[in-house]
Amino acid sequence: MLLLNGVTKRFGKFTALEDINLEFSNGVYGLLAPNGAGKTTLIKMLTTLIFPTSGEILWNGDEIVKLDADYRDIIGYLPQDFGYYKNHSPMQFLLYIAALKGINRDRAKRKIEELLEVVGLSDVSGKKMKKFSGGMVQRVGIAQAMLNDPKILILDEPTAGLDPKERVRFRNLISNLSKDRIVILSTHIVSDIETIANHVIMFKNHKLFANDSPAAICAMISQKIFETNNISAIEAPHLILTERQDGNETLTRFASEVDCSQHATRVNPNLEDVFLYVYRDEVV
Amino acid sequence: MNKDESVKYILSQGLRKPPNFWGRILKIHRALGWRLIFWDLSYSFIFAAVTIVGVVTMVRHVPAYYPYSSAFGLSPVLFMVIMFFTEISQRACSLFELTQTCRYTSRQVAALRCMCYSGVGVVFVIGVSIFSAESVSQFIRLLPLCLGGMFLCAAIELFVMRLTRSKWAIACFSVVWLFASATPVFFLEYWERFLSNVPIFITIAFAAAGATVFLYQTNKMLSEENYVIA
Repeated sequence: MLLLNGVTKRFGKFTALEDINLEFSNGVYGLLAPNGAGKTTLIKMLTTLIFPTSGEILWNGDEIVKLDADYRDIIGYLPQDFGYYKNHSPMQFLLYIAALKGINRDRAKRKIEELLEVVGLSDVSGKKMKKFSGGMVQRVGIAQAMLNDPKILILDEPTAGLDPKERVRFRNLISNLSKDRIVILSTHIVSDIETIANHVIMFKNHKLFANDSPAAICAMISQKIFETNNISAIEAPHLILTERQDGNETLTRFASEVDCSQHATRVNPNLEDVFLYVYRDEVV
Repeated sequence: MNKDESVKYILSQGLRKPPNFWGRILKIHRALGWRLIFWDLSYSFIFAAVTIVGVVTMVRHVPAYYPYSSAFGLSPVLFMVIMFFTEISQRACSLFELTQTCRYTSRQVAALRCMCYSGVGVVFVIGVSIFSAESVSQFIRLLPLCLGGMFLCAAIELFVMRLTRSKWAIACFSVVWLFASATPVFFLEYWERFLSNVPIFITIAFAAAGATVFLYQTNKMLSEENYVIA
């Protein structure tokens, strides 16, 4: 079990995260927050790239800093800007990362072949990566994160650059992987989290705002979301969330603290509504 | 974990002695091999080689009136030039962060590379000393002096690398060393006289001290846990 106890991270006078208490067990955890809210800071602390200013991060009761290489052995990490060597093939690149992860060459080769099959890159395993699309590179990144069969898989914006088909494949892959490991997923794509995350973690003002199932998070604003084709008729204070075309009319989705069901239809909130509602002051 | 559980855990694991410096080096070398230790650095080595050829060509045209000063100033050049090109390229690579989260971190592999560069640096220093010395006694004084200079410079450079995550720190250090080596030009006579009169046992002690500090810094890079790169 991965545990964060009163974790605070400051950069000089700026507080990136304050007093974060979290507990991770097997499953998919989606980090949902706007840019600059502290998602990447949290991920960097979990991958030991930076350390908390105060508080502790424990893996099965031991501080991750003290565990050193033993902790790094159980994590798989896909960074936001996944770098790769353009002049090497996925096979060469993955063999390099496997060696850095301390996996012996024969075992690494078998694992790489298996992973390239899973991410659908078996046919191009020998081709130079400079010819790859963004989605293909991202799939190589996912494969490298899985090389050591990690107990904690940390993915920072993993679906960026993937087309819809690849995204669905990725979601299925993550769902399968999460049965026996912790998957921590940071993304701006709300639908990804909505589909695969068992828990959603939200930060606001650099503090933990919510940590619950998607359904429970959506329930926070139940009764407050409405849809109408005539937004000008709504006199009560409201926050416009989204607009969509439905035939010849424009349907406006909005949030209001007041019951507007006389002029609009009450609808079930989704995570996107929660995101826009919670971060209404921060999202432009 | 309570006390009894902790005792059980320790007993089940047995007492494991943490690997020493050479143990760590061998372990990383065994896991990676030469090819992966110097992975994707071919361009950096080409640039380094061209720079070294340029520096040596320039130095060959300098009148050899001041063998001690010129050899001492030149001693860390090979190490510094290789470090400059390879480690800046490694730090600039966006994979740097990812490789820092692996069992063998980018930092540990860099420490191993520095050991190799220092080996090549020693060969270079021997060459410079042979080229600069006019007699055997001069060579015996000059060699430890130059080795000490190289190791000290390498140790400071590793310290700078440990201290800061910026890739430009390596470049800044090279510039600072350049100025530091050029400063004695203004009082070259005194500097040359000072170096040529240092007792041999002090030059040997200087070399040993330089090597010790260098190994200490390398060991720190290999074993430091609480290190921030992002």
